[in-house]
Amino acid sequence: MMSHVPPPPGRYLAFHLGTSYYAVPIREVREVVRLCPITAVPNMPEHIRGVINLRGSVLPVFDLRAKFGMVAVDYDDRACIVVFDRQQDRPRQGGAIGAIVDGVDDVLVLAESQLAAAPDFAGTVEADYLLGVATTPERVFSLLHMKNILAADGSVAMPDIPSKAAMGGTESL
Amino acid sequence: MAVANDILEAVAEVLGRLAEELAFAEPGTDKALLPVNALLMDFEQVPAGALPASLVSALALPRRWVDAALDATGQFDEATLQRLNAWHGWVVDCLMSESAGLPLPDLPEDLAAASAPETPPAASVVTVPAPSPPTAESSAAAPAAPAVPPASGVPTMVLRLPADLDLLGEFHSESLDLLRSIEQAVLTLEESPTAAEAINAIFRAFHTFKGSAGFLQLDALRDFAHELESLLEVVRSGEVKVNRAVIDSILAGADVLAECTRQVGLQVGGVNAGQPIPVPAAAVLSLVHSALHGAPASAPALTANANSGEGAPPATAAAAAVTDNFVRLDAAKLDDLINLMGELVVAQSFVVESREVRTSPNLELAHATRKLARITRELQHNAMSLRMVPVGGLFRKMTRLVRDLAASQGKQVRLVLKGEDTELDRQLVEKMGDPLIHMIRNAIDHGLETAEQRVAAGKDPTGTIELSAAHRHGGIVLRVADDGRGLNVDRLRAKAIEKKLLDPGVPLDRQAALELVFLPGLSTAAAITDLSGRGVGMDVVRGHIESLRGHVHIESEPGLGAAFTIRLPLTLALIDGLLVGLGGERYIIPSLAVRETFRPKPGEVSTVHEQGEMVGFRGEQLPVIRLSRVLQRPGRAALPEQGIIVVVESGSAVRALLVDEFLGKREIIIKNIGDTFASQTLVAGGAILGDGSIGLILDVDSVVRSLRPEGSGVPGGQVRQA
Repeated sequence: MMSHVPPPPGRYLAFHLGTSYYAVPIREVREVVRLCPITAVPNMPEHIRGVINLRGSVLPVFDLRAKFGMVAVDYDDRACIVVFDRQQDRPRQGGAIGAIVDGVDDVLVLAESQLAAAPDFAGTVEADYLLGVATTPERVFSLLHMKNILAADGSVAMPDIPSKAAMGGTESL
Repeated sequence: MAVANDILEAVAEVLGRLAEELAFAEPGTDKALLPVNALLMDFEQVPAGALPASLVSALALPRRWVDAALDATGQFDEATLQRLNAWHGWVVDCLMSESAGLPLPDLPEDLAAASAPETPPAASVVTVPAPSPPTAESSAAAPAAPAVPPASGVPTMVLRLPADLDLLGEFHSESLDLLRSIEQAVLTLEESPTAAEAINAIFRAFHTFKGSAGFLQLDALRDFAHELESLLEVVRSGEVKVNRAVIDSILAGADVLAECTRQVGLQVGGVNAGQPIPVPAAAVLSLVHSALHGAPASAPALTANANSGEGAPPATAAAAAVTDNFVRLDAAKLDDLINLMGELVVAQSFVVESREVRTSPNLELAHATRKLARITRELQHNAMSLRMVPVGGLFRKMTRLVRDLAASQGKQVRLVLKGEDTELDRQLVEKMGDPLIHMIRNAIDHGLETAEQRVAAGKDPTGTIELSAAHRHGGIVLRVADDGRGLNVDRLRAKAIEKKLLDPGVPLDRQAALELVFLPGLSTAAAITDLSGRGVGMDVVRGHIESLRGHVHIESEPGLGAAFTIRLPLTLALIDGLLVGLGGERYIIPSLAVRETFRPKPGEVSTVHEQGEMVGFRGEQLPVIRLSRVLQRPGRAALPEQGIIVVVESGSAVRALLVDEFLGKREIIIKNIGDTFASQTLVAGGAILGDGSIGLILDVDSVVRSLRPEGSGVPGGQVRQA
């Protein structure tokens, strides 16, 4: 399923994985923290890296590179964890999840004229993961549909099949 | 002996602050009481051996006065304040002498005198009429006055203060425990008048009262306790059955003992010290008399006492007074408080355990962090206790259920409740309701026989279901036991094979066969009527209990009954855990599931059939589970003797879990790790460790099941239990 509607104008957080540039709507981002040691959880798909302590609560962290099937790299000190609010209606209820990125670049203010619906062909990223694209004088950004990307990691052992049904998740513990 | 100057300085500083606080204290108020209490606690932090014993005991002197004030009225009274001030002056002198290397000054006369009014010689204490009748003064100090007002002829006792101050303090706290056990046992007796355990408990309590009172030469109290003991002796021998009159006597007797205990507590705390304490025995003794001989005694107080013990839940005067002090509050607010408390504990241990703090040469910092740790611990303890409620409320709901079910089934059933004041987390109490109802319903529907069947089997026509609770191993144990026909193991096995839940070729020992009852699918509607045992949703019950991080264990003897023992953590928010290392990672194993840890000796672990490893433990061979294999993480211990064996239990299965190292025990606040990890079951949650990193809490059941032979579907495999 692809979106044929251009994403809404507004503020987007830009980051990169290698030479690929991405942005996400800033209201979905709770915060950005430095990459810190991650406690691995056994029996999980490779892209789910584990958990970190985010000021007293346990934050699951996944590796966006692995999620997108990109080669693994040794993260340097520019690497960050972007913390997303998965379920805005259930804050504090384990709704947040962190994504490791190579580096966070900027906050972009994107106007309608800079935004377009996702093209049919979207390179390594599955079309369902894209909101659209944004063009700035410097470069082109893929705007990520975090909800679809994260949906797959709701409660599942099926990491690469986005499914809205999984969003509800099952209560654990 | 040379004393480090900094410790003397620290003591002097605390004394200075004590002086300030004492200046604010006022008799009859609680002003400064808590600060004074906290400052006195600082003295207890002085490392052992750092100060001469004489000085340590001098510093500890006011502890019991303040404790008594806290226990009794929560306020300072004139006498205590005077003593504290006198003590303060003296102890400052002591400190100066100590730093000057001089011997300590003696305890001043007036300080001793302030707490020691003239004590008559012990011999004159015996049941004499009160020399001066207690006046409005003493009854004002005692809002919960004894039911029978002291009158002439009421025996009294006089405490030997200050000679027996320590002993009386111990007597006071011991008596409070005894009174609680009496009260609890009476509750049991009311439900089941033949409960020998309860009768014995009351007998022992009165007996202990008698002994202690005799030892302290409180003869009036000793004689009174002796009478009560005699009553129980007769009941114990079976000469007199427990009836309303006996219970009323016990309660009235306990009330008198409670009042005397309270007075002792006040006097130990300096209130009315030296005043004779009345022991209004007569009314109770006439009750005892009528209970023993069935003839109503003529004492007018009898009716009043009998009324007080009737109908309403029995409670001592003290307990009744307390009910007014309850505060209703929003459970969500309480949960918030507890969660914040958890954060505080973690933040605190982060500071205290940090390398900078631990290795700092700064003594003041060390002192402050110790204090922080202590206060946090107490605060945490208090906060947790706010959420604890007695299990009795839940138990009593079952009384109704049993009565209704017994009536509808035409069976005679007696429900015996034990350990009703065992406390556990409110959430757990709420969540245990359904499983208990399930088990009790099963016991009545399937476990207990009809009266005719029971008589034919040579049993009491009335079946008994015992519901008990107790604290054990840092958790709580609930038990539902009946004396019915027990589970039919052969039919369970046949049913499981018929339902294709069990391979007929699999040998099962008795326990494993009993545990078939927990298999899902065995509990279909057909099974309920077919099986003369149980099977009604026991899989649901087990699932429910395990979701509360508990375990259920079944025992049954044919013809004698069945018992389900449920072990639960005390609270859902916090667990005791063992921190273990595997490779560079750390995991937490809930203590409730752990029996023991040990390092295996070379050769102790043997390989069986070239497949599984086994280790000897207390005369049994336990299968070894290498945690590294289950988690598929690298471990360091290639040979078992390089690691540590943690003996864990899951249901009736006992396994030896091999980890790299044992890192200690921790109290852990459980954090949800979220939906993301719902696809795996090995990890039940996360906990933030002292260094801020996350340790994963292992689900022992899941770890143990991961080793179960494929396809057999047998809980616990073929492993023998302990």
